[in-house]
Amino acid sequence: MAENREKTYVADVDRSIYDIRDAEHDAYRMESGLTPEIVDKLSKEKGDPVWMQQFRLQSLQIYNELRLPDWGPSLEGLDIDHIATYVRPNTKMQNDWANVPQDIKDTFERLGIPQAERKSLAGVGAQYDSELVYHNVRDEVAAEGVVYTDMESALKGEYADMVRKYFMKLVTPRDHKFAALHGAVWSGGSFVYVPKGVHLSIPLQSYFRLNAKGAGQFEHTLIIVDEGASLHFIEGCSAPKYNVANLHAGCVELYVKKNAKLRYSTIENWSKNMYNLNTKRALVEEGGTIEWVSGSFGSHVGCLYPMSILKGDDSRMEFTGVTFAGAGQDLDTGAKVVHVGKNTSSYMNTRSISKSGGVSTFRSSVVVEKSAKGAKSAVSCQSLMLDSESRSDTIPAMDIKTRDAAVGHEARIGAISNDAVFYLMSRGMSEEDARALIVSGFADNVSKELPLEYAVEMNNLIRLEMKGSIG
Amino acid sequence: MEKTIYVNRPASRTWNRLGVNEAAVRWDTDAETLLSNERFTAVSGKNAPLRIEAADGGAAYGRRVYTVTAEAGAELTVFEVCTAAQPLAAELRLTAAEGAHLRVVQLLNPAQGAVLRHELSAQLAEHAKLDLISLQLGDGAVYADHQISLAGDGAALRADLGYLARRSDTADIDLTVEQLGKSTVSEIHASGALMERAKKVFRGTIDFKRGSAGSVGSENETVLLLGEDAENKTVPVILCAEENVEGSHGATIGELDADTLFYFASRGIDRAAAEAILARAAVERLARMAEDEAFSARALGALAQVLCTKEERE
Repeated sequence: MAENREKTYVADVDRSIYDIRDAEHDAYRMESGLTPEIVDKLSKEKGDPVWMQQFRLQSLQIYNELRLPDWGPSLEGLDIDHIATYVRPNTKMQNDWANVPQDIKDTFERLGIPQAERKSLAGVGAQYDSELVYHNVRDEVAAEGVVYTDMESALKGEYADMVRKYFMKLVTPRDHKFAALHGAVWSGGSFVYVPKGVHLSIPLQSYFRLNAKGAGQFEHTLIIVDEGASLHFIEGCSAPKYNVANLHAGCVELYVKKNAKLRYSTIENWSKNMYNLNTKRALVEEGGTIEWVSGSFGSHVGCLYPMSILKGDDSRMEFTGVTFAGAGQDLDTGAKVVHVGKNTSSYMNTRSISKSGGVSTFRSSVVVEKSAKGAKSAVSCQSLMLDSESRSDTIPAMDIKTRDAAVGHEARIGAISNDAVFYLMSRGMSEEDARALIVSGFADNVSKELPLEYAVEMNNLIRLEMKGSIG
Repeated sequence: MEKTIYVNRPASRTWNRLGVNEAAVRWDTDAETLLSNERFTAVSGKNAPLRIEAADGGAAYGRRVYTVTAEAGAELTVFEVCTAAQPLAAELRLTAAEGAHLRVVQLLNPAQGAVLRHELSAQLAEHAKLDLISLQLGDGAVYADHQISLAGDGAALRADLGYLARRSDTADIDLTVEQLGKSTVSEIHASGALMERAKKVFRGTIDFKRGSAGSVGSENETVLLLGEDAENKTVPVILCAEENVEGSHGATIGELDADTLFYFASRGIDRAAAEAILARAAVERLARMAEDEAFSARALGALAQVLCTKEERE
């Protein structure tokens, strides 16, 4: 009875928990394509304020002006004319799972979200296609002044001014073509505000599920952690597999104020027909800390490089990531950091694994501006090739504009040690289990940074991916 | 008429805003003239050193091409000195047959304000070996593109690249080694110092092709930033399409660390003197590795010219 298992055991079941497709009972599905008429219709459908209607149309104009990137994985299979940019599920947002339609609720139950909420989360947002179907935050957390709500409510409610002040200011539509697309058709996502000095001891989580075939998901996450406050935010995502392309072009904007701390964890498990072109960025003020923990397992093509701008003196960032590219996957992942303030520091620690023809690319950029006196940066990336059908590339770049900086980089690519496999087999393990164990150990930089339930899920995802890797 | 051309394009591209996907050079392609096209062959066994002097000959946008073929079992050292007061393009094409061993010792030394483009290409057959020592010193802009193919099983490359750039010099280096054969080895060491407003880009790519099982590639760079306005860009890339290989790279960029400064200070050497010593050290080490008095003298002379003050120069 997979449905009744606790989240800790989710990964013991097979991949079917992610691949289950619900019948599409959409209340509304926008026609495929991207035109001013479609964007205008979407905006009206969502009841946007006037400034947002204009923002969407300006973003569309920018989208049409910008070219596709001339680097990175091929996006040839992605045709925006065949993507439905807005699919509204047949329910309003609820704050009680009992009121969520049964099929949608069942899907989230299988994914372990309500169970995790009861056990270890301060609040949960669950998005299904283009809209949130559930959003709730614990009373004691709300009582501390923490705001955790859906973006649409924030846009129109008492936080409207704050949303307008921060929305797509960090990632502007001019940033790249898919940021412009996001600006034009965004829908859903979460708004979080943690007041000064408030420390959340347990995480908030948003889960994004894309059920509709040939659709896009464009949720916007805006988090502001005010001075001296701290937050752990977890993001999960998955979708059933279809034989046509789906697109995810979300946007995450994080504002970490003076002496605040934010950890942003992601376990990404999109289906293998997904183009995951997500943009994430954090602006960190004096003494602030941003920590990214990222596990990328799904998607057909992924381009994901969370960026941190260390604006304030003594601010810091840490990025810990693992990427597993299997058959039919081209995952281009990594991180970017810009040091602006004095005595800022950054550390990237990544692992990537490729298998069965998968392509894994680690891409990074470290920029140390002239003003960043005393900056320190270290990048460490390791890649594991599990067969010669696959590819593993490492493409880091460093641009250092001040002499008063210390920047280090190291990378390593190799295969599983036969000696290690032999050692484990000599103690009774099968070769498949031995190799899976070694790969799990290789990725422990990420798993040990995650809450236990998520670490278990990640390790089981690795085990699933490793199934049938021998012979 | 001069127009912008793009050189030093690496095997893989990344974010354009970093400005590392190519180097833009002002060049008059229409005015480019072939000044020389010389061919040399090294026969099996030890050969006398080959000395190449590539100068602009007073012509702007001249091109000189040198083709060196090392037959099976040949051993040859090529000393190549490129000097330019006018825009100059030099090309060195190397082919090493089975078991041949080529040493290329190179000084790229443009005069103040001059542009020097250099292209080195090498094809190495089974168990052939290339040792490359390349020094970039001068007051102008150097664009060096090294494309090395380890095609044969057991082929090997060791590259030692050194540079010292000062004032508003530009050092733009691309080195790509394709490892195609089985059990090939590449080892790339780059080091140098940037003073004043100097700018440097180093793109080093180790490209393990499918079938290069048992190959090893390593790359490291140490950059000493000594100028307040100096800028360093480093792009150490590994591309890998073969499971059974080992690739690694590392880079260290910054000013002298506290321990090193303390070491010098405890011997009565202040920061400025310590920086000058270490800026010279990378170049002097490579000049000594040339094991040739005439070449070392040229390299050290060029080094002195770079390090001299404006008054001394005049």
